[in-house]
Amino acid sequence: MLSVKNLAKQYTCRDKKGRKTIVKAVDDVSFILEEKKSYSLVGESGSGKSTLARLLLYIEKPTSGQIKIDQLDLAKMSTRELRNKRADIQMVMQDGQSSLDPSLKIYDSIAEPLRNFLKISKKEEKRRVEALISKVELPLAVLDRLPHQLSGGQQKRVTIARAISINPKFIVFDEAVSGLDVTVRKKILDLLLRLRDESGSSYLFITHDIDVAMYMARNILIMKDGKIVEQLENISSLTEFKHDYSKVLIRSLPPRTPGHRQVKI
Amino acid sequence: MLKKVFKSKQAVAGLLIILIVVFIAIFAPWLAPNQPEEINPAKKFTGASLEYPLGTDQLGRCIFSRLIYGARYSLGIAVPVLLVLAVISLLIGTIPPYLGGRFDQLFVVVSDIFMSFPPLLVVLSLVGALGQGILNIMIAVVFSMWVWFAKVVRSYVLLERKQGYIMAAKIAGCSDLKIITRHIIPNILPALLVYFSTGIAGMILMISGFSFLGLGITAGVPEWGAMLSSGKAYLYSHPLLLVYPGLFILFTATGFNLFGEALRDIISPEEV
Amino acid sequence: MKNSLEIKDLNISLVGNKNPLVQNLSFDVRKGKILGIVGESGSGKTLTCKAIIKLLNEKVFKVSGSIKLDGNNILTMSEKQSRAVIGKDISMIMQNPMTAFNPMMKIGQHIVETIKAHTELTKKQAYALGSSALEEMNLQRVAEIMNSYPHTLSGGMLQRVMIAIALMLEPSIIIADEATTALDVKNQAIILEQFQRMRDIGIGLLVVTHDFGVIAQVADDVLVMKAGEIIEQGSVYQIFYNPKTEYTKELLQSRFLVDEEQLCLV
Repeated sequence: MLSVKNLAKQYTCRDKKGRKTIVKAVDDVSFILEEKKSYSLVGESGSGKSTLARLLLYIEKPTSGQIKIDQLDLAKMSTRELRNKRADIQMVMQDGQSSLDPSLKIYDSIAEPLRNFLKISKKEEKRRVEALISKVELPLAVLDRLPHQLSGGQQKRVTIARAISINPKFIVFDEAVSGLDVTVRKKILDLLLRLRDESGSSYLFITHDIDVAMYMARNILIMKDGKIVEQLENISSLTEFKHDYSKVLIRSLPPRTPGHRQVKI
Repeated sequence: MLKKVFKSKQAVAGLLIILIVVFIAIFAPWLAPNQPEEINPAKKFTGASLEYPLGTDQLGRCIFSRLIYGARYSLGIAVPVLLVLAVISLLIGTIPPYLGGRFDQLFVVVSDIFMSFPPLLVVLSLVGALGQGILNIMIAVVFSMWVWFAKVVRSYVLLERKQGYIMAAKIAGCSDLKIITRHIIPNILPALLVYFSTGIAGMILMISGFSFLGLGITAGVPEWGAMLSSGKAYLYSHPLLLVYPGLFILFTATGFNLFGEALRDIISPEEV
Repeated sequence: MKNSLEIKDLNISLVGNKNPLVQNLSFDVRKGKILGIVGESGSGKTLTCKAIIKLLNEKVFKVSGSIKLDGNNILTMSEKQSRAVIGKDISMIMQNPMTAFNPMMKIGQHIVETIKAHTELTKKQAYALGSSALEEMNLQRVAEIMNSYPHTLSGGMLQRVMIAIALMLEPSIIIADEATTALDVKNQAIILEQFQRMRDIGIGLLVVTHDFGVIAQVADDVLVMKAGEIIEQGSVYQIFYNPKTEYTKELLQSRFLVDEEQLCLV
């Protein structure tokens, strides 16, 4: 179980006149992610959802508040303990190309978490990497290539293989499918749904698109200006959203057919 | 990348020149017809002959042999100094900017203090304190130059540190040390190679310049800069004494510069 | 209705390479209508836009066919003639508004400069025209925006400023290349509303996108492109309710993920 309590992250910026201003990127956020369940977090750009993702992975330290994985407080851990704890929580980032080291072959990129978290022989490592690459439906030949030789969809699959390699309890997907072509996006989302059912990991999808959010999970959190404004479990229809902001987001969705065109918003 | 190097005419030309100079330096005892330091007052200022292919200098030493041995000094000083500088700058230039914060600020302050002294001034005072000698001039050059190299390394690390794959490596469980050695350094190395290879040319010119001024290298050593210096008294009567070492310095520096610039063109992305 | 932008047998290929990047493209953009071009990355839709406003480097790309604006072929015009047409009669709105602005210039300067490059107005008149154009885009605190640098505005605001600049010169054709892709749904809805307003005042729009949602909201006619060719075209209703090719069907199915009942009860 991953529990977040009163989490906040503030940045100090200087405005045009050199005055210090405090930006609350994440503001008093609390929620609980259970194991073997999926969640979607919806927010616009600038809502603080990417900052929240970095906080969950403890790449950035929160200004205040608490993150616990299985009752263990991340803030109380040493650097080494924290590093080992990352075996429980992994992340897939938005840009596949930039999240792969351009000088490393795909094989080494996928093997990296295995080498860091598990002590396994070279032979076992090779077997696992090959199993992973076929799990994400890529040919074995890509293992010898460099990231820039792969298409955007292939790069995304490699970063997914890397995240699932150590069977983490939680995986955070930060806008993991935006920027992909729709046909590629659909295939990757379906792959993720399949992988989730096979592995029993808990997935948190962070996205700006309610359509994607609903497709991936039935537990939905809506984020605005650093705050979680609405949190729903097991929803089956968009009509269940009650908060004004959620309704604005839904109304802004483009129509599914020209017949549903809205005249004025 | 190697393939691209061999496709570029400029890189191949530069590499060829470098190889020639390296070859001369290594096989100097077999290539030189005479001992470079053998004085023969009876035969000073002779013209080119079979025995002395480029004639002799004011002390009757074989100019050709001295030039050939000179390659050993130029490369023998510039290359080790550069290697030491590369190691120091990779050690000092990577960690502070990666960690950031106070540590990096301290580094910037210290390096700014070092940069505020011109290298020539530092070398002058160090050689003055340590005394003449090849080792001393090498120490002085390293001491005066490390900060410039470390600053360049730092600027590359600052750019690389923001890349997504650094964060991804952290998530994949890499320690900070591993991120620096396995991810950052391999990715900035090509750009640094360019900087280092053009740096060698500068180093050769610098060391020749210092010995021209009489710094570091004792009189009589067949170093190109020192040869220029001792030849300048005969500028009007025997100008060739200056022309030959000058040409050798130019040739070597051109080789490294050509190669370095070609590498830069290969590494930096093309504009469409 | 009069045809405004007619494109006939447009072919684009790399110089010295026979494989066409865009092949036998023919379509019309009519005034007061929105033509949508849908395609995934690599379909040649952006190349087509760039060819229309002559943004392709002639040393790299070979362009043949004809692109006629009110009967005059842009491709055969002299440099001087085409520069007078492009920017004034044909405007383009790009995907990333941030890169379209000079970061060192205030929004007001951009606006005044654009107007002065194409008209005889004085600086003061240009400023007033610019302010009213921004107001028409439903932007608040116009004076403040005119006096700020591009990076201080959000992507949605910058995109609206860009559209305002494009509209100021009263073009007959506007090309929007993935103009809403980088925006969130709220800002996208605002921009799409502006597209509809432009159509209503008689401008012809070419909306290039990968998103069938955008098409469903604004387009009158649709072209589906794949690998440099048009594989299907028709009215927006034909494409949505009666797609002929498997590819179009796949694109439509991939775009909308959740069942209709779950989404459309609002």
